[in-house]
Amino acid sequence: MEIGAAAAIGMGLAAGLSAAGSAIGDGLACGKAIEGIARQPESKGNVMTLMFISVGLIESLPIIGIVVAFILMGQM
Amino acid sequence: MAAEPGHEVDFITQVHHDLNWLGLPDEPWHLGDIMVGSLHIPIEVNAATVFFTWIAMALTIFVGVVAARGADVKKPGKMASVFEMLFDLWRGMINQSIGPKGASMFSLVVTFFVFILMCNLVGLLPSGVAPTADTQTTFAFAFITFSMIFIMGIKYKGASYFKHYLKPYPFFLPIVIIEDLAKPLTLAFRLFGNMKGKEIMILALLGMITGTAHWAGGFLANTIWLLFSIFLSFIQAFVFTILTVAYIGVAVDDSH
Repeated sequence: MEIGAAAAIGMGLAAGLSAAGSAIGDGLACGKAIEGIARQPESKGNVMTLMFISVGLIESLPIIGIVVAFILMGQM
Repeated sequence: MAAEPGHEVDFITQVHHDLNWLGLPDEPWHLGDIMVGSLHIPIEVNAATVFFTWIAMALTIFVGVVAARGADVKKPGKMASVFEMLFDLWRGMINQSIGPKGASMFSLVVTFFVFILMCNLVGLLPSGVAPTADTQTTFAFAFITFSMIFIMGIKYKGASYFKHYLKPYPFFLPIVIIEDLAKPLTLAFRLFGNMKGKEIMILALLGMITGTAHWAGGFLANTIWLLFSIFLSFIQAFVFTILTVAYIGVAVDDSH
């Protein structure tokens, strides 16, 4: 297999799998946050701040996957 | 990147080349090499990163000066009121995580937030390159956080700060070392990945319809993406700063 073809397949796999991982993780975190707010509406400020921090933390590894896809784009 | 005849350049590079009206060079400046035995490490600095870091610094100083001038008890200026909200927010976060020991961290935290925010937003100007889209800038920020963790830990706990490597059991030592190294690494890569991906998406959406930037084809999609990237810039600056506060809170905390 040529280097270009393998790099293209690798790029697609890296980007696609990291998107799937980040979507599932964000969905779990935000779902629980919305449940918590629905149960106790006065805690909205605290829960929303924690939700943004959690989304920022959860998305760090899928973004490293996207950086791997960029590195492969240069090899194509 | 010149397009030689018969050799196709991918359209993202083409759009980046078309948008470059400031004439910033594509190749980084080469400052010299470090020779470690037979390993050859070049030192390169990107011209666009340095130029836009100066612009972000000027914007931060301007915002700070306007806020300080408008500070009046009876009739505060607009920028001064915004800064007061910012100060209240960060003072609350520092008091929650670190307590009264964190009073010396306050200026660092607010500077991180405002400067990283300005750096991120500069990338949205026409043909602007965010300085945080370069690994060198983000690793510099992460290194500051990494040193502050050690400095604050040693300042408030003395030499017994290093005992936290051996708790709860000594054979956790490799995991604790990896965790200590992963904190600044993930901070740097999170900021870099977000900003670089935002920039490449801007270029890709601009060139989507015809492959060049000369046609207003990808205009609507590009506008929507620019709105989303303003939101992302704020979130990333906030997450970086609040993780700095949290890590230092863990280092100074003595409730084990």
